[in-house]
Amino acid sequence: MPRTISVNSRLDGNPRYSDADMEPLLQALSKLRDGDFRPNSLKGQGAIATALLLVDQIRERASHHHQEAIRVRKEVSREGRLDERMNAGPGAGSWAATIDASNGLMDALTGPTVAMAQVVDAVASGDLSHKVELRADGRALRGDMLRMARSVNTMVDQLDTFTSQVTQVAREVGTEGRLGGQAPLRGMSGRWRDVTSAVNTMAGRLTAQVRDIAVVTTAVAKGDLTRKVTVEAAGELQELKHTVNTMVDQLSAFADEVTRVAREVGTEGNLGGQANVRGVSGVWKDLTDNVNNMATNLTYQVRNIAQVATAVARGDLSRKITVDARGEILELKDTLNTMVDQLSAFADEVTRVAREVGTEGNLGGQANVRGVSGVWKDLTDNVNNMATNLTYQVRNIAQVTKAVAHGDLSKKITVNAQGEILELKDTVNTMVDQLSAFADEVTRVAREVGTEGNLGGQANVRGVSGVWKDLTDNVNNMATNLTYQVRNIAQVATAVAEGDLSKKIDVDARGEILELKNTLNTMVDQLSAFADEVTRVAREVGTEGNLGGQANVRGVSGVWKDLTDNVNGMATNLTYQVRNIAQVTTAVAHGDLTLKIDVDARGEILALKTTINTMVDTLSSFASEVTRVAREVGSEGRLGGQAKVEGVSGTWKGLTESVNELASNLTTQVRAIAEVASGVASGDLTRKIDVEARGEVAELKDNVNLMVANLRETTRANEEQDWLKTNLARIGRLMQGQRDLTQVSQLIMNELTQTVGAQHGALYLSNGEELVLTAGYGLARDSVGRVRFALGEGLVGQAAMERRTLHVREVPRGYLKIRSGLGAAAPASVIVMPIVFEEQVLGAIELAAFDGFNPVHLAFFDQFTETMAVTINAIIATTRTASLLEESQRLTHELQERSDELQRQQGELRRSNTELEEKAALLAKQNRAIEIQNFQIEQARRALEERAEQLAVSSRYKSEFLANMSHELRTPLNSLLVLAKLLSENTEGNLTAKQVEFARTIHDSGTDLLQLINDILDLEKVEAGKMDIHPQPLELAKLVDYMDATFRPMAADKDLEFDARVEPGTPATLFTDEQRVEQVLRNLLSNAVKFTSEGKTELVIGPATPEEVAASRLQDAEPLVAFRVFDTGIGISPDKLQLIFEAFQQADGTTSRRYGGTGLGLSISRNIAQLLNGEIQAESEVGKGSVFSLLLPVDYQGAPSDLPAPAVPQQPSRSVEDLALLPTEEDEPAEHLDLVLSGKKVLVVDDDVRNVFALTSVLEGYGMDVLYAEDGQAGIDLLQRNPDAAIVLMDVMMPGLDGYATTEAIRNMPQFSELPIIMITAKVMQGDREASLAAGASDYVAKPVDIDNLLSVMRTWLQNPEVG
Amino acid sequence: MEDKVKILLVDDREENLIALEAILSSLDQELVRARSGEDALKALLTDEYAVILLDVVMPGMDGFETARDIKRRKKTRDIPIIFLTAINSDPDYAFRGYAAGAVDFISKPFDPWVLRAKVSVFVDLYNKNRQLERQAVLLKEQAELLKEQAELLRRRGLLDEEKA
Repeated sequence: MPRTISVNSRLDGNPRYSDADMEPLLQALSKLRDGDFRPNSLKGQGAIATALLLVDQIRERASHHHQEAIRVRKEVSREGRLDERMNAGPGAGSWAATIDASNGLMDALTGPTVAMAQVVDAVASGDLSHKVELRADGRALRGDMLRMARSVNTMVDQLDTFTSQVTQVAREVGTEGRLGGQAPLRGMSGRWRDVTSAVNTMAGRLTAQVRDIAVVTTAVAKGDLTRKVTVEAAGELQELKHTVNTMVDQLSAFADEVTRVAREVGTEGNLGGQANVRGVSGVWKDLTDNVNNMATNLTYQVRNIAQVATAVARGDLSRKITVDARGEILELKDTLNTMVDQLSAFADEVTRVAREVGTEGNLGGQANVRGVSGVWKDLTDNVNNMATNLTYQVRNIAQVTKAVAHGDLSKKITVNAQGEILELKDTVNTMVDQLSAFADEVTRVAREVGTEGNLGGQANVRGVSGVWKDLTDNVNNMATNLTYQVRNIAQVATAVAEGDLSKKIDVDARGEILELKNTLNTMVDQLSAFADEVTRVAREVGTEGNLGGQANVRGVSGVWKDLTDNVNGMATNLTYQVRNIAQVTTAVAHGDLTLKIDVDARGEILALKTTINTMVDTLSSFASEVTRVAREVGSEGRLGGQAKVEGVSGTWKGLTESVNELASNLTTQVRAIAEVASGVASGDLTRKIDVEARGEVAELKDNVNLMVANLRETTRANEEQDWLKTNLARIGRLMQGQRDLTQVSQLIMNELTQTVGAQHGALYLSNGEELVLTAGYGLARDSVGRVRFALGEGLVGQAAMERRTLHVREVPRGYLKIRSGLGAAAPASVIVMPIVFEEQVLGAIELAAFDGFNPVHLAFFDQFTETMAVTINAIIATTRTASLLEESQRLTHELQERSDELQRQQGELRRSNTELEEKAALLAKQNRAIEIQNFQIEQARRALEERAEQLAVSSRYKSEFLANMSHELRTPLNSLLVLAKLLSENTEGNLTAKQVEFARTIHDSGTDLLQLINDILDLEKVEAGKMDIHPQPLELAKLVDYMDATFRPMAADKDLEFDARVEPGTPATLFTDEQRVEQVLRNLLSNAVKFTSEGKTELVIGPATPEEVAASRLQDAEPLVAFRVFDTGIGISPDKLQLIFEAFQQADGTTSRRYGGTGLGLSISRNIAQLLNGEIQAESEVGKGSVFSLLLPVDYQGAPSDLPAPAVPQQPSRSVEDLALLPTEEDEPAEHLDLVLSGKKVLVVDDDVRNVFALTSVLEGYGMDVLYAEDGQAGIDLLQRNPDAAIVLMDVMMPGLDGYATTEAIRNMPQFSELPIIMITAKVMQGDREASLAAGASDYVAKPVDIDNLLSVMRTWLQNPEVG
Repeated sequence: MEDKVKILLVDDREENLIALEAILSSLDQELVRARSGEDALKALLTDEYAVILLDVVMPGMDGFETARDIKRRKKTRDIPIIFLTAINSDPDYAFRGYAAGAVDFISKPFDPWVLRAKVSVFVDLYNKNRQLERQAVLLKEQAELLKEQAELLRRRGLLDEEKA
């Protein structure tokens, strides 16, 4: 504690102190001077005391300074704490400044030291990058400090240089093996230089030795065993040197030997040589042995192989290598054997193809060698190629030659060929060209000669030789020959044309020309014949006038036939015309002037025709004039008329005058005759012509006279004829309209008899057999109808039979008497006439007369009998028609009656029909009513079904809802429970007991909640009928054991007795669902334990009788077993006993508070019991306990029928379309050995991971290595990381970069320009393929992917990337 | 001495995945999450897993389908699958699970300790298998070597006999 004393206050100016007094002060000062800073106890008085005090203060301050210095020194020197500083002392002013200065000094000293120490530290730890800062506290270091710092820095630099040099050398020599490296000595000094030199020396020596050894080992490695290590070495290197040299020696020996053997075996082929290396042991011996062994084996194997190879070389492919070999030799053997097999197959196949193509000419054959690869495949391919090429070339050539053969010279061989085929092709093409030129030339000649008629043309084909030249010459020859022949023919033809038919073609010709020649000669012959014939006809017709002659030229045809026909036609025409003219002239000659020549004629004949016709006209006019005169004179009586014919002369004039003279002569004579004629005309037939006449007129006169006489006779005949006609008409008229035969007969009798003046008459009519007297005239009264004559009987019968009139003229007396009241006389004549109509005798008429019958009467009879026959026949026919009509009318009437009857019956039918229809309508109505009822019933049924379905659906919804709900509830519970459990475990021990307790509570509550949810689910399942029963044999003993094990501890926890037993007489096993039974029993027992606080609980299993059970279905389901659970718990009042089986019910609402539980257990148990065809019974007494009994049939027989049938179990629906890729989805992917696919890397780019997974499964089954990317960009990245991917399967539809874009991007990378990329897409649109290929894809496979198709596509691309 | 193995956790619910990770983190293995069956397949396409914990009820592809696909692929066929399901009371589910190739079928809520123990068994099995594979490879190599040497010896014996 510094004490501050005011010195001045006590000073007075008077020296009052003795030396003695000063002694303590001096002592104190001397001690102070001597550096004794211990406190002293000197005392003084007054100012001395004050002085002492001051001295003590000085000492104190000095002491402090001293102690601080010592302390700091100790701290710095001993402890090394350079940051220790002196504490400020009690003094101020210079004291304090001294302390500060000391501290400043220390700072100045320690600062750079610490910095240097840091640098040195860094150096020590190998970091040579640090340097001492040459500035401290912003000031540059100076003096020693600067030097020291620089020294340190220099040292660090040198160290750095040194270490880096040495490191470099060491690294070069040691690590990188670059021997010979030397650390440069520049800038080094002292020890550094020594060390560096040593390192360099070491490096140099090592380098030399190592290089030497390396040279030797390199030589050894290169097989030069002559070198030895010669470098000077010591120690271990010396040993190494010796060892290496020894090794080189042994190796040399060994190598010599092995070389020898190898040379013998390998080069010289002396198999069987053995290496003999002496003085070797260990590995070398083994090695030698191995070599020998190898040589032996090799020898054996090689010989075997050689045999086979020799056999193969000789073409014997039947040999195989049989030697036992391993490793590569085995491979070689197998390879050779395979090679032989393949060669064999190949040879067979090639032979086959060669035979087919070469020998048999079956082009198109292909060699099919299986399982070959490499050169053989190439060879096969080449052969096939060759065959294909040859086929193609040969076919092409064949095509061209065929075309040439067919005359088509426009084709050329276009096939690409080489070598001989090329020559062949060129030759054929040249041939075609030449042929073409030749053909052109020949065509030209042919055209000139043939078409244009320029004979003498010559084909001029240049540059041809051999056959072609011959051919051209031939053509020219032919042309010449033809020309000669044609000219000869032309001569003959010209001669023929000029009418000289005597010439013949005599040129020597062949073939067609010969035919032509013959034809022409024949033609000339025929022409000749024709000319002869025509000449003949012309002579006959023309000269001899034998019209009708016809030319008859045989064996002609065509024009000649036409010509002949024409000549004949001409002859015919001429004949016709001449005959016509002859006819007319004959007619004129015969006085018929009406005829004219009407034949169609021309030329001279026409002139002749006209002349004759004119002649006829003139004649005609003359004749008409003469006729007129004759008519006027002859017919009109105008006598004195003269004919006046003009324009006539000669004979015609003379003739006219003659006529006129004749006319005047005639006039005189005719007038005389006229007088007589007038007399005749006025009825005077008595006169006669008396005029003198001559010749014809005299004849006329006689004739007129005769005519007058004839006139008289004719007039009388006319009168008779008139009578006959009149009577015929009269009687005919009378007979008209008559229908009765008798009347007609009578009428005929009356009229006829009177008309002919007969006195008796009888008319008989035929009845088919006889002639019956039907009417009479003047007959006895009763004779009518009685008198009958058969045909041929009497005169009447005879006349009828002969159909001839019999006329008896001289009737003998007594034959017949015609009577009257005045007398009787016999008639003079009797006539019998038959009445005949169309050769049928209808009857006969007999007449008798006194006077007889004159010819007029007889003619009358003839005509009248005809008329009468017609009339009688008409009457008979009419009578027959009438009777037929009557019959017809009768039949019609009957028909009418029948029809009426039918109509009546029809009416009845119609009536009954109507009745039936009414009944049917009634039935239909009833039917419709029934249908409507059915429909209503159907509707009701459907409504019911719908309701039922709705119910089922809503029930299912409810169940599903509950199931889902409980799942949804359970899921969050799950993590809650797990995490709570984890927390309650408190594994990390950082939770308090309370927190653990909370966690446990959370867990327990959660567990309870879960239990509740499970119960609800269970109940729901049972109610929805979803709980399945799986019955199986259940051993009761086991069940009891299980229950005992489960509940005994629980009961023990509550200090309850527990017992579980099986009563005797119970079956040992049940057939039921064990799990369900256990569930019910667990529920009952846990209830029993839960609701019992003291006493015991017990499970007794025993037989039960049907009387015990309530449900009827159990009463006949013997045998039964009863599981009874007894307890001594709280019991249930009887009114609650049924209630507890309802869901969520307990005996008392408060029960659950006390005992927990959901109240679902019994409800579930009862439902399960029903499912098991059993029931649960309960008996209880409040406060005493309860008995719950589960009664079950021993043998579960299936679901009870009165329970709702279990709903159809719902299949979890799953979308099927996703699985389109895997048609056989349950099959495991087979392991396939596929040479093409196996080991290849495939990149699958597809966003549908399931597809990819399935695809991957398959592809991996084929040994492929699958890389997967889920979008385009990832695919590209993955591909860049795996450039060895062999193929890419690319989905088109992907998010982000789609398949097309990705493919394009991949194609833009040069290293993947050839990578096969196969597009896979669900799209089946047109143009997808094109789009894929346009994007750069190699191929395209449509979804759903047919895996076989995909694999084959992949194989194609992996096998043969250049396809397509 | 062994690398960490991968365990695939498949569940559609984040909280379940958290719970699973909480349970299994002490095994000190790499836990890989997958939120769907598809994710699981994706993960299986790229990496190898020691065991798969697979939730049965998931939207879309459920656990059975996922398992079936996994079992169909040769590479993933032998990865043990533990089904996790909340629906424990349906024996059909367990049956389907085992039919789909599960090695275990655990109902939620599961005991963390049990699950951890089961998973760790499969991890050990996986490691053992890998070790076995390596040893098998080694053994095969050695067997080859031995066979070669035996062959050499036999040859030498034959030669000696011939010489004798």
